[in-house]
Amino acid sequence: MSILEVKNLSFSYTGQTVLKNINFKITEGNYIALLGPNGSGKTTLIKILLGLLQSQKGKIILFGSALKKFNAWQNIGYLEQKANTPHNMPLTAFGVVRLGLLSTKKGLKLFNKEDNKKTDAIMKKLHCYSYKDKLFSELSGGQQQRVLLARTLINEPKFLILDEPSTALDSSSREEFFEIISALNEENKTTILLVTHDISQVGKYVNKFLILDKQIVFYGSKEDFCNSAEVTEYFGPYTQHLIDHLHTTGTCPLPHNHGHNCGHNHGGEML
Amino acid sequence: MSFAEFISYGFVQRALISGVLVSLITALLGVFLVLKRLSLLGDSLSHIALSGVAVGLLLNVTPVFCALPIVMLSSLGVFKLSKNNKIYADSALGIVSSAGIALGLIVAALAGGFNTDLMGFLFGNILTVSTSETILSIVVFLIVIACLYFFYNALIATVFDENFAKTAGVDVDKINILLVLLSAVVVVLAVKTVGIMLVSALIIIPPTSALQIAKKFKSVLIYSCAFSVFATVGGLYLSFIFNLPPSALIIVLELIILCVCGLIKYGKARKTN
Repeated sequence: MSILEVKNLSFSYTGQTVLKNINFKITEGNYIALLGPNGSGKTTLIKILLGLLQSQKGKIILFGSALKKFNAWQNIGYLEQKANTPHNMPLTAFGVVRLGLLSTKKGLKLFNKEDNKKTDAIMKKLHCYSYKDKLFSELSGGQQQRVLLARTLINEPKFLILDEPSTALDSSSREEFFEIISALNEENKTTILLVTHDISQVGKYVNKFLILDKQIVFYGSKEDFCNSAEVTEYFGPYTQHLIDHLHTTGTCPLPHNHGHNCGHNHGGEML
Repeated sequence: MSFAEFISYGFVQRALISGVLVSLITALLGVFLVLKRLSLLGDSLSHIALSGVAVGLLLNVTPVFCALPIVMLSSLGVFKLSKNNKIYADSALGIVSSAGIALGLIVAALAGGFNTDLMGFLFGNILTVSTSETILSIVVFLIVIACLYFFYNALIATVFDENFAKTAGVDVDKINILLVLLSAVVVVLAVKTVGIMLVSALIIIPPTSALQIAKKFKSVLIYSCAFSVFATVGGLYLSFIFNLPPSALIIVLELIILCVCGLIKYGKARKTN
């Protein structure tokens, strides 16, 4: 089943090309890492996919509907790297999570007791129930991100779009975060598009890579990524280090005949 | 003068009904505007109201009814300017504000200068509220309450995080337009209560006071309403006792409440630390 199709998408801002002729397709169950250097257009692409920005050219089809006509927002969960909220917003963690149910409401967007039960359940599942009555603005960055993840997952969306979601988390919370997301992919076949810089953290979970640098450099499976001519050409002298690193972290499942294994850990942030 | 004697006058009753309703509406909408950092929307729109009032006086039409469409159209203009990201929201507000004053001054000069009527709108004259204006207050109050009830969660989501609200299926543009249009109507009504010069205080101070002490969104709305109504009724009563302008006393009472709330917050923070 096709979840997302992007056709001939281009976007420019104040005369500068940000995205050029982007074409790709995501099918059900895909877990894709969207990688690229700063300014490569990752977040712009995500915002266009969600209708938060309008592209000048191209077509986006979500769950079989053109983006302009798309209204099944309960199928989509979106999580940004940081909450961009008023600092004095008088909303509790519970209130924030419950807002995630708005997309399931037709007409009047009012909540009922069933919604409160659902909110409690997801907060317990994601271990943020203990601070449900605290103000969202008074929580730590990690706690806020956990609450926002609960808000994103409360509808059990079929397609998760995560834009550098683990930035505010410490390393153990980060690991747990990716375990939760990966379990959704494995157990519920939730499709995931994850924007990240940290290839070592997510490499073992994802099954596809999309490398973006204003245009698509590479889009394909992990196996193809580790043997790709496009990747070699794009990363040039750094390719070897990257592939070594991917082997070290278990990202590349197939042995790669690169004739070199320095055995060093070259750090997580490869892009 | 006792309070019972004070409220026995017909014009005081009209002033109280209109004043309480206007203070409730400004207190409720103000919470959303303050959190959206659109506090100065009220200020800019009140300056536009000056043009509308001046046009009304020039054409010999009830100024409030003349100001209403002009301020509503201007509020949509502010929304359009800031939405396209071509101009920052605060710059858009500043431009509209200056335009309102400049046009108001020109039309006021054409209408024969700053007469008593125009001064009444500049500094408010709640005691001269007419029956038709009181009825308008009741109608607007009911509309605002209905909108807040039906769009409560969509408004909260929009104020909390617009990107999230859009991906939750909320028509954020419609919600923002609703908010600015309601603000426009309320500003025109509030101009009669406290005047063009002080209308933004009515929108900003009670919600800001409430945000100092209340923890939950509904509590903020309740506190904001309570402070606003208390200041309006108290200011009106004190104006009779001390023979001072009611609009100024209303704002002074609101400022006192803000200071008290600030002190309570400070005390709580010290206790916690």
